[in-house]
Amino acid sequence: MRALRRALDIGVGAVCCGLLAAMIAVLAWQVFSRYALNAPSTFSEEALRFGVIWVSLLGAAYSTGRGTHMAVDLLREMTRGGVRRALEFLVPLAFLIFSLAVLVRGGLHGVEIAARQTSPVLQIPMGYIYASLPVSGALMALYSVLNLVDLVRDRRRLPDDLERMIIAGD
Amino acid sequence: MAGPASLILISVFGTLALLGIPLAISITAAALAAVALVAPLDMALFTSAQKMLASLDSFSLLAVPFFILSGVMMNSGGIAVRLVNFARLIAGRIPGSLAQTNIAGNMLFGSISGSAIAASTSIGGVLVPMQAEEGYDRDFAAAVNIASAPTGMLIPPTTAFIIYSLVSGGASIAALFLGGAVAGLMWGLGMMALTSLIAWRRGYPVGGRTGWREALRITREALPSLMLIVIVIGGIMFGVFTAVEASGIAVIYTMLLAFVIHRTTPLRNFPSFLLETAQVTGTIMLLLAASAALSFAMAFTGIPAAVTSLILGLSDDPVMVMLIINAVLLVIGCFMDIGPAILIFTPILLPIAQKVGYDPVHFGVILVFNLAIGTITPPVGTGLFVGASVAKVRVERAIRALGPFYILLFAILALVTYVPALTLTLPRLFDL
Amino acid sequence: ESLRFAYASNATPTKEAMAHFGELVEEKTGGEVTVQFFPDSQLGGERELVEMVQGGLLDMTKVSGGLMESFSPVYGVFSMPYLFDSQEHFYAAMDNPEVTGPVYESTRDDGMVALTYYDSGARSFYTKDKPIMKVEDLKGLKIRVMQSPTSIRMVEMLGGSPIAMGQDEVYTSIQQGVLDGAENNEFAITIAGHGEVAKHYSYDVHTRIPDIMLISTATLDRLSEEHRAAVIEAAKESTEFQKQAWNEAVEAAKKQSEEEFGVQFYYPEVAQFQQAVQPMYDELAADPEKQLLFDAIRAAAGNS
Ligand code: NA
Ligand code: NA
Repeated sequence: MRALRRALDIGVGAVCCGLLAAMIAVLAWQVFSRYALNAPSTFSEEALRFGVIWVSLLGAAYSTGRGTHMAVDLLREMTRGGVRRALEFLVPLAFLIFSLAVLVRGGLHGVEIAARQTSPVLQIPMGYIYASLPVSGALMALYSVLNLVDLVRDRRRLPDDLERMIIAGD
Repeated sequence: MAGPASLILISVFGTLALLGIPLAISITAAALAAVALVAPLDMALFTSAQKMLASLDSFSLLAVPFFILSGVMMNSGGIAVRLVNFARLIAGRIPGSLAQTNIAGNMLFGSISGSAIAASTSIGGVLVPMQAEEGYDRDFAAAVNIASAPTGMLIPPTTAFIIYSLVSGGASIAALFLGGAVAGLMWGLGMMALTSLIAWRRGYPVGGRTGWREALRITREALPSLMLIVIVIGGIMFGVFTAVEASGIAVIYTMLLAFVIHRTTPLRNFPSFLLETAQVTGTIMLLLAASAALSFAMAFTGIPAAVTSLILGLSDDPVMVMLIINAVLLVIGCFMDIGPAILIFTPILLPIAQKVGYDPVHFGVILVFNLAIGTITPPVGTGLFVGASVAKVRVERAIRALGPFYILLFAILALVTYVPALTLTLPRLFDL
Repeated sequence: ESLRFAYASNATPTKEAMAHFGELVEEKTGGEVTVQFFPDSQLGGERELVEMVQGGLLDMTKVSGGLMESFSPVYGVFSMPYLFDSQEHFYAAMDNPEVTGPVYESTRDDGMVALTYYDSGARSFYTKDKPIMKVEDLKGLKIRVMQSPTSIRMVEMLGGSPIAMGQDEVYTSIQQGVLDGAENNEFAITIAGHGEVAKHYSYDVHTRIPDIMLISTATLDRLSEEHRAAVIEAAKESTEFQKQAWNEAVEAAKKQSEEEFGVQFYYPEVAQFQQAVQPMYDELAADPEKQLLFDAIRAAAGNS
């Protein structure tokens, strides 16, 4: 289980880092081509838009593993024992339902509809963009199962409000 | 339709959020429930997914991860100390020198890092203990730090305005940045004035003069970090580049600072900065996406129109309407964080404000100002909690010491709300 | 029964025509079918609206023919420069069911069909610094185009640098010099306020891209035969209504551009522009479906 989590973290993390680094390079190229070469690149805007979508959704999956999505902890902080434990279990369960129903199922419907559309500039199938939803949903579901197992084995507590804010830097 | 839909929406969201279900999920579930009233569930699932994706498909949104990344890199090394020294240089001769230094430091650091929490921990973390040693009341020192930390949410660059620009249907980010800079400065300078009054009455010490040689050294050390603000605000103001391009330039400039000029951190740490950025971006964007699904559900079931006629039914006098909106926002800010609040309430409240003649840029500044106050008020105020724990004082004591600061902030909010020229003059001057 | 009809932002005559469509449907069905409108991008942008029609959440929408190219490539022909000789030719071709029928039906397997079109005027270049009097004037200029491959290709052929960006970013981009100009009908000057930042409108009239009204096939199947006929008839009649209102509104917009925004209008020689985009027609031959539509449209030129 731990090995699976580690592999997931490394895989998803590496893709996120690579995408972000590539996006920095593309935006730098866009600015440079516009100002220095006075010949703006036509592909960069669309490429960057698609990059933001993928990074955001993969980042959301990664944050699910870390448990850093924003929540109101008032009730959890006020309760003890069995009630508190029940509330803690609700979080990964909600993630599981959300990711499978909305992101995977709803997203796959989107992939199906978008399959025959092509993007205007890069001419790539729009299905590749829509695929970010089910892919991120599947990863989120995996992470939620891992979080659930950890909760059962009492190996992990949810981060509290403060911890989450500091990580989220807001 | 709007009646039952809003009832279902509010009760689903309220119940799930209270149970501690992550906000993004509570929001999506509320949206699903409302759409499912009029359409099959499968269709509602698809539409939610589609809306989430479409909300992320925006070029302006690119500025979010990039400004976050430059903030993350800025936080990583030595710049807090440099900025504290510089802040002391500019504010150190005013009564209550150390407290003034804290305020100026929070404004500078908050602007650069875009994070009120980072400002209050790194600047307040240094200055609150120093104040206690020099005989300042610890509660007062905590209050000063807490009350001035949110200025960074208004002084650009700031993600709050980028998100607002998106949901408002294209209010200019550049204009919002300039309007926000003015509001943020008013906030910070107001805190300084009140602090000097209290410090003078309590007889807190005024710092000594700094020699010009020392002053020069301090300025030179702080200058590269300060240049970031100059580049971003100046570049946008004079139309050299767009807000998105500014975010890219901020990243590259910060990389140069961290890895080449200051060398505060080795290049091998870069991937960990990227990872942190992806994680923060992921949490913000999932919320943004969920809120897009919600505002679709609201439009589809006619809720914004119903709220508009409800509020305008109470009064159509602009002063009254904005008073109601401000009161609503202050209550919302008490319970909710700034990002989701912007996303959910802009589509409902902006049309009302526009109906009584408010400019979208002006309203954006009012909205963010309001919600920024919310981050330091009880019961849910992350800025309040973090600030109290940094200063090692109990939250109740910090709240008591914050009393006069809250009153001043409401007064400044009233000014920002009812004197449009304050926020709009600068953007109009630069044709934004 | 109520039909859900959503659209993005639009010129006034087109909005009026859609409202008229709603009234006609109600009238023809004796109030048994009504139309509920979601105007002004309330429910999302045009691409999303089309997808919602496909998904069945919306019954109808109206979008630019340029956007339809990514759902069905044959629509790309409508974006070809100098396809129509004049407004008369445009109407003659678009009103001929043998020309438009196969295009309207081309998305049936994707869950939607087109019912009718609206005139969206002629698109020309408008620029910040100098008018476009000949093709060379476009050289190196950064011109905003719609996110359509055909539009991108056209500006490239004319020597400009096409930038595909959203309509809402155009104003500031021209102002900040990120763009040198854009191309659109006269309403971009007035409704979007671009006349404040771009003062030269050059009538090279390169394209006439129709707006397309779509309906979900699920909705068509659900309607009774009688109601279905009423909806189709109402759509056609609303097109006639829109034609009446369109030219008047364009004249008004032109007048407003000159008086309120101080925009100057120019009339360059068109032949040279037609020459420059000729290779695009040679490329068309590679796609038989597109070539067929093209030939049908050109054949209508003589009849007008
Ligand atoms: Na900031
Ligand atoms: Na609060």
